Amino acid sequence: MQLRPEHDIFFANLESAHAPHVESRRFDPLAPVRAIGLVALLLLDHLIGILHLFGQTPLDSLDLLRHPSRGPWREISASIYRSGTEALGITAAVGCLIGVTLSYLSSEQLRSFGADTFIVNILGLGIVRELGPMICAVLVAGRSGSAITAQLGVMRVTEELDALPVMGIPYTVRLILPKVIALAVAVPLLVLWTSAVALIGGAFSAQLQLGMSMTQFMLGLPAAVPTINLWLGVGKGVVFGALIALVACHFGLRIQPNTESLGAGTTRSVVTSITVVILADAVFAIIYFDVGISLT
Amino acid sequence: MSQDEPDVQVVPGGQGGKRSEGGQHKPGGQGGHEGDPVIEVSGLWTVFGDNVVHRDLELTVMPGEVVSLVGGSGSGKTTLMRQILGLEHPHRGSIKVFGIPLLGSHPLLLRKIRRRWGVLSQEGALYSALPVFENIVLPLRELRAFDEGFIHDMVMLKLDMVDIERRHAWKMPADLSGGMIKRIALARALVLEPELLFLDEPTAGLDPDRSESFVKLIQSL
Ligand SMILES: Nc1ncnc2c1ncn2[C@@H]1O[C@H](COP(=O)(O)OP(=O)(O)O)[C@@H](O)[C@H]1O
Ligand SMILES: [Mg+2]
Repeated sequence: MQLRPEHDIFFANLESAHAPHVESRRFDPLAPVRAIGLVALLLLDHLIGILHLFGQTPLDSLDLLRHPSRGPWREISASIYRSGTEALGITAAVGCLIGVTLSYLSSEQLRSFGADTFIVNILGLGIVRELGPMICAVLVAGRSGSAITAQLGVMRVTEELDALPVMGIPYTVRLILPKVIALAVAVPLLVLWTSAVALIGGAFSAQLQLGMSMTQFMLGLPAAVPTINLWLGVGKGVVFGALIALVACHFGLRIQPNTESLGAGTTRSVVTSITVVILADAVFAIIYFDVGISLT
Repeated sequence: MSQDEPDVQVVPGGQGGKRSEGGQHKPGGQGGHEGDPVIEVSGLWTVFGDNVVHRDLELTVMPGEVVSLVGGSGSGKTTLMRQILGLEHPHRGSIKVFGIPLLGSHPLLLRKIRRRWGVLSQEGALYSALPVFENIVLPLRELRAFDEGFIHDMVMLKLDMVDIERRHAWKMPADLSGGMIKRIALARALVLEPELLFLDEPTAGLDPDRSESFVKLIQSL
């Protein structure tokens, strides 16, 4: 057997090679501090990015109002269809199940206190004010938020994202604004729909558990749940929808042109938008803590 | 693994340099003043980690000129084009297009420059969500100065120019071959009658016949 000269060199190198140098891990007392600092900087970076998009939206909307005939109306209606109409089934299914479960658990408790009629208050307030908007937001973040991030990410990979500004077309108007508008329109409508279905599911369950007829339940609703709660739910829907769209677009634009970044970015987008929605919900709860809760 | 400077060569157009793979051809506008450079790149440095891609690069393109950049794969041709297009920023040096510096100019001014050039990127970068017709129409629609009839005629004219049959106009880019996508992307780059045309590896991925006619087409512009 003969060795070619380059192979000789290779084996010579092998022989002379030292054992791989393992860097001994020294205790670094500042490591946690550094890690926290890095996370804080990363958060700040994302926050600035999202604020940037958020600030761009009213400017682009102004442009839209000034030249309504040039608007990306087709993109907006397509997005509303995709994130709203196509989500009717899943939001109804989840809403109904939550309504039934909540009603079942509460009626067990209420019956032991003989406070059967309060099922209307618990379900009405809980669903219209909190659960309806929340369920919708989580589902939309999972369905449409991930889709938006992935779409923008793929456009980055295929360089479609670069082609727009090069042609002198601002991509915020074509790509971001339609999605923000679409979700801000679609999510509040979904909130109404989900709350309605959840209430029907809850009423049905109450009928089985407590023998309270559906008509009795529905007639009791207006007194138990002031109308302002409905508006609060719809308002939350608008805010949550816009937030999900902004977060999803932000992470989509940040995706690097490789497949791994695409997967990681989509995951991060969904997790962040759900977190942001929960934070926004807490803010709503603090601001409107004495609005629409009648204590009679 | 730093690369040496002469990796990217600037070859005056019209000669053999044109057909070499990996060229960018930039026919300047006919109407420009003689003497005002269309593109001015000076003292350009691009560094990725320890990989020096451009070392003090100078490039001036005059109106009416066709310039080819020739260099091996990975020598920084695409990067240079992206920098001139304003998609990436060099580490040092200045780039002026139509006499306007890319860095520090008002966005509206930059948008105006962008309507005066046409770009064919390496992969074509057609919008996969839009059919061929809508893709070519994109830059026209943005100007919004034309009626639908004119737009239709214009698109068909450009499709003829790049030798794409009209029946393909309503297909989606995913249903077309790489070479066809490239030619459609050229049609999109030409639709605004640009004064400045950037072509990144225009003949890569084309069959020899088409590649020949592609070069003829570019010469005829
Ligand atoms: N975003 C980037 N990060 C790191 N290196 C890059 C990046 N973009 C380009 N490069 C490097 O720059 C060099 C030139 O790339 P490119 O301009 O695409 O070459 P080509 O002449 O084939 O078009 C390559 O060595 C590539 O590795
Ligand atoms: Mg290249």
